[in-house]
Amino acid sequence: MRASEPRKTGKGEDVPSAPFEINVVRDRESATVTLAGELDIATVPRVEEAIEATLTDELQVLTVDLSGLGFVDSSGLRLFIVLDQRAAEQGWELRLLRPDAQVLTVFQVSGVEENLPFIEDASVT
Amino acid sequence: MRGETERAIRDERLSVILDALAEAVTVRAPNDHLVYANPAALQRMGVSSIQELREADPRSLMGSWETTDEHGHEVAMEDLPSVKLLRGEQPEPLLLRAVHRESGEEQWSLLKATAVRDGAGTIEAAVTIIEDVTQRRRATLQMEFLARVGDVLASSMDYQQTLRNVAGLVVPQVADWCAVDLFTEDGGREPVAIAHADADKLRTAARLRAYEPDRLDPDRGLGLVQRTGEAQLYTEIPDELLAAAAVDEEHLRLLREVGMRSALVVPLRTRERTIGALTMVSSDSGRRFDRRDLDFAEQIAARAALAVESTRLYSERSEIARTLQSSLMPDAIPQIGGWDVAALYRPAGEESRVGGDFYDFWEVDGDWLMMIGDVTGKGVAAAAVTSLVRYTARAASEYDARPAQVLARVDAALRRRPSISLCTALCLRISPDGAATLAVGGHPLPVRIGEQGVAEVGEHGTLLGALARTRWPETKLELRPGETLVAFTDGVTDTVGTGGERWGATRLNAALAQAHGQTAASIRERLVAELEGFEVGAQADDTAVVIMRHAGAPRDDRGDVRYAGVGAAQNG
Repeated sequence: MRASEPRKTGKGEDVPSAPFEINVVRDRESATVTLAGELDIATVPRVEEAIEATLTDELQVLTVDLSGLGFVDSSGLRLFIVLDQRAAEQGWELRLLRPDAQVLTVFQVSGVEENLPFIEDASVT
Repeated sequence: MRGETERAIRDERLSVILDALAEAVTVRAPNDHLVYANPAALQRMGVSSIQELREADPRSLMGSWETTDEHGHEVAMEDLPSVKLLRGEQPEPLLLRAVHRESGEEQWSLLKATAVRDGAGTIEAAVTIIEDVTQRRRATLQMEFLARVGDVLASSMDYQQTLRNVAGLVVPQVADWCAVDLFTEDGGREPVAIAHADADKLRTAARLRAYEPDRLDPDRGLGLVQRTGEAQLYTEIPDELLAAAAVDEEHLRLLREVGMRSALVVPLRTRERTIGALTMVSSDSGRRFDRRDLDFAEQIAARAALAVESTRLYSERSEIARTLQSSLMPDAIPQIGGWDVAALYRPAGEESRVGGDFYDFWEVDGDWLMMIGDVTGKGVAAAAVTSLVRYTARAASEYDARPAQVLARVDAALRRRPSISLCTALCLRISPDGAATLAVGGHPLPVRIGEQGVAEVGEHGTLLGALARTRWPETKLELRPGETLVAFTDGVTDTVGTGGERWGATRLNAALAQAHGQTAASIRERLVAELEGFEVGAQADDTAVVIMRHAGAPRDDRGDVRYAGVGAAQNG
């Protein structure tokens, strides 16, 4: 899945921005969603949609790779908090692959990092 | 006419077949006279026998009908396929619309003519098969028409204009005269649109409407439709009906001048009530409305009512959004003793959207609490959370006005909500002497502008509303007179400019670098100018900024520092 058209805002004008990409790799029991670009109020709905499609009954582990993110805002933080709660309710496991230091800071200063299941590497089980 | 055709017509076996056909069949002789019509054709033409048909002038047979083609052009006898065929042409099938001059009945027919030739190849007669396509044609026209109505209704968010467009579309295709009225709450009516095929008649119609009472008669016409919500069909409008309805001679003259032949009134109904009515009148065209026309008019009205309702809902929604938004912000920045305060709020996106950013100021024990925050999510749901946050914070501060405790209470209130409600917030307590206590929950740190320049102050704490492990460290500050604190939401630093670049903390600091000593209002103007110069396109997020400059503690007559807000200062 690839999605890099310009973002649309409420007034329908294009806000120029770096392309945002979502890649989904999945097998029966696990899925990895890789995000690249700027995760903000304009791109969050697309990520939600892509993740929603992976949340089948068979899913055991969902890994979201944040290492390609260049930016995250509060609506991006919300996305992962909501996912974490759903994982707890529905009995599957969420793993978040750390973003780079600058983006990770946003998760750290808001106290989100210490509350969510961040891992260093996808091979960790 | 002699020969094969004549013999064939007299052939009993052929007659049995033709009599049984549902399609109308006629035979026209080279002298243009009709010499045969099967019973279906006789019935359509309104002729009682073949004898009568043969004796009639063929033009007079057509003369009882107003005949046009599908484009509305008049069709004369010479244009009929059978007549063309007899003149040696090769006519195409003709789609004919006929409206009976007396009864107003409308028929659509498809006429196909075939030549009957004698042994030498000379045309002996033209046989026309007339297929009744009235229902099919009407259905097609109605579908096309409803599609156009749909386009017109979707074209404007001004419901009055929308209704005028619909009335304009109805005339002349469906009716000669069309009017739309909306019913007012107090039982009156608001005329919205009137259209007539003929401009002179439009003036008459407009004058006529002046006779209609503002208060509707609940037992007839519009009033009856308003009261019952049921459509009314007046298939025939005899002169006696006009005379009975007229209030004076002039009124009756106008009613007669308009020449109403047939009329219908259908309600514009929403789920809750009848909001108005669509009136269609047939006059010059001579058409008489029937049940099917009524059904059609009801379909048009249903679409129009839906369009009116959605435009009303849209404007109501915008109004609700504005009201909600203003309820989320203080009416005005209060006078705060010892501080010069200015604030900025810019909602993102559509007018009808309620933003998630807010700020608030309130007084506690002679100090002031300021809170600025950003509720994630948009619209009415976000507005509800914003209200909860504001009122929880105010209530919590009555028991414990320490900023970290206020944030903890808000966090607890948000967690009690059934769905995840997140909020970033900054809570600041300020005293008239420049002392300040700061706690931050998932919110950007404020900056302090002083002689040494611009610097972030405070310590980060946990985002409010959902996280299990929380901490909200407090930071104590002492602002000197002239020093300023600027608190903002992430919409400010996340503002998108050319090439998708964000405004960022560096540009914010640069914009504030020269601000030391300036008033809060002038710092705000500077920020607005910088942001507007940077941003490209409509921004996706709200922006809110609160600027607080310590102006020096106010002193009373004895020169003592007064630890009181403006209310106390005014009373004292």
